[in-house]
Amino acid sequence: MTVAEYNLSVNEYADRLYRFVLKNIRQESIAQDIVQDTYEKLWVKHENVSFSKVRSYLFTAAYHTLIDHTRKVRNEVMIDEVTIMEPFDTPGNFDLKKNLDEAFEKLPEIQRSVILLRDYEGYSYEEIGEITGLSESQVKVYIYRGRLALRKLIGNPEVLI
Amino acid sequence: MNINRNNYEAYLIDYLEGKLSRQDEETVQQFLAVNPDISGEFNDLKLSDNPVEEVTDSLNKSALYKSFNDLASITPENFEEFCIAYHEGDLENDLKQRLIDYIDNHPELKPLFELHSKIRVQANTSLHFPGKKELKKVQAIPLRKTLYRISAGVAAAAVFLLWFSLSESHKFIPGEGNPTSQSNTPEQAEEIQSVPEPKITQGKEQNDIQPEYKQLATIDTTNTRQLDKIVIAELKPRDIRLKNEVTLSAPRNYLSQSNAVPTGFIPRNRSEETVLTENNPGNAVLQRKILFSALNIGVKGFNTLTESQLALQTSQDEQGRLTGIAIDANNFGFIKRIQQNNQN
Repeated sequence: MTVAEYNLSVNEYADRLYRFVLKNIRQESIAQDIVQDTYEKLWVKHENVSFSKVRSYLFTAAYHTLIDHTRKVRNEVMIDEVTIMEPFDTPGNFDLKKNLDEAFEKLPEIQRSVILLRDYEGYSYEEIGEITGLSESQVKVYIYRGRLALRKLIGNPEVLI
Repeated sequence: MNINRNNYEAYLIDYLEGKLSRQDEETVQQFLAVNPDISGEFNDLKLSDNPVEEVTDSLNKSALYKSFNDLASITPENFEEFCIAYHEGDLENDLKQRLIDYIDNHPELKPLFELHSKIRVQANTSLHFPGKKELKKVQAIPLRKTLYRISAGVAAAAVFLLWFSLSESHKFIPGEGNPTSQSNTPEQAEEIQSVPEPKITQGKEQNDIQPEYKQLATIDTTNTRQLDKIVIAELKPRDIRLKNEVTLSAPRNYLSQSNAVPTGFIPRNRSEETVLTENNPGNAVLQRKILFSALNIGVKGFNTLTESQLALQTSQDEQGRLTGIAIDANNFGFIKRIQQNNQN
């Protein structure tokens, strides 16, 4: 990858990477540090990374940095069981996007990551597996669990009426 | 081989893996014979030494995988799983149709189906990484861009020359005023007196001047009014071009003697601009235009190199003479206005 391609990758992916990390970690300064760190890693290896693979490289590196950070901090309550979650809203007072965002923050970190990679970037199960180091089947399971959890957190479809 | 109760495990493993020589195998067997407790352990090890690969190879894992097609039917219990699969694009066409049919038969489930279609996390596209500019790397300048670097250097030189050549001290009238009126100390006066009078070697010195500057350096003495001796020809081209260095100075021993401008010498505040314009008015204007062109090219090169947006502008009077020059950057600018010499 040339310097021009590297700079192009900054233009193309820095914002998207930042949104992905920030949505996961919810702390701007840390998200910025992770993006910065990710691009520093890319710069070190830019001669060995082809431009066609740079998006995958960036998200993989950012994801692993994210995981490392999360493991260090461990200040969040990991909720892996849908049953302990309570729906937010009642009919007539419903903002789907707002509630979806709030519900999303209650998901376990791994489910957040795979859903973000799917919804933000449109990655396939296989690509998400490459980024996260999970098998394709595991990715699929986490996405299904995450979506089901989100639906249950949002509540029954009557809230939309 | 020296097998004992402290190191036997490694030998037993080597034995089971067939890595021992026949002689060593016999040694191990003898060791087990005298250590029946370890022999029992060895038998357990043999039993467990069933390669995992063989087990997994014999297991047809793919046969264990299930898909939605293997589900007997869509039920209220697995309905949401089907909904998610539908919106993820994981269902084949026949299953999609089965799901649609199921919803048709259970219209109360349609809102749930639609709700699942909306459970997508959307990025806030108005959010931008604030440090994007700092992430970028300066591109190494390839050889072909060396020209830009050269032109940038030329621009810098041109700015310097143009700036200082736009002298405002053009109002000197020969014979009036005297920039040398500063007082000299006795020591200075003595020193000045000791400086020999310069020889006027107009013709000889011109031979050292490059051809393109000869015209500039050769002064038509008929136009110098009362100055019947001229020393400008002794100046080197560089001196002619640089106003501050070029200021044509009378020899020091003359400066201390009289307030009057000594005959045959050009006072020190008389710039090369004045001299050139008086003797060959076209040259000064031409030189400025050349400098400006060089500057303009250099600025373009500088902009290309640094992604800057420097702008260069000039203003001219009705006679086409340069009256001002402005360099404008994003955050600051310079403006240089020229006071034209009325005599020119």
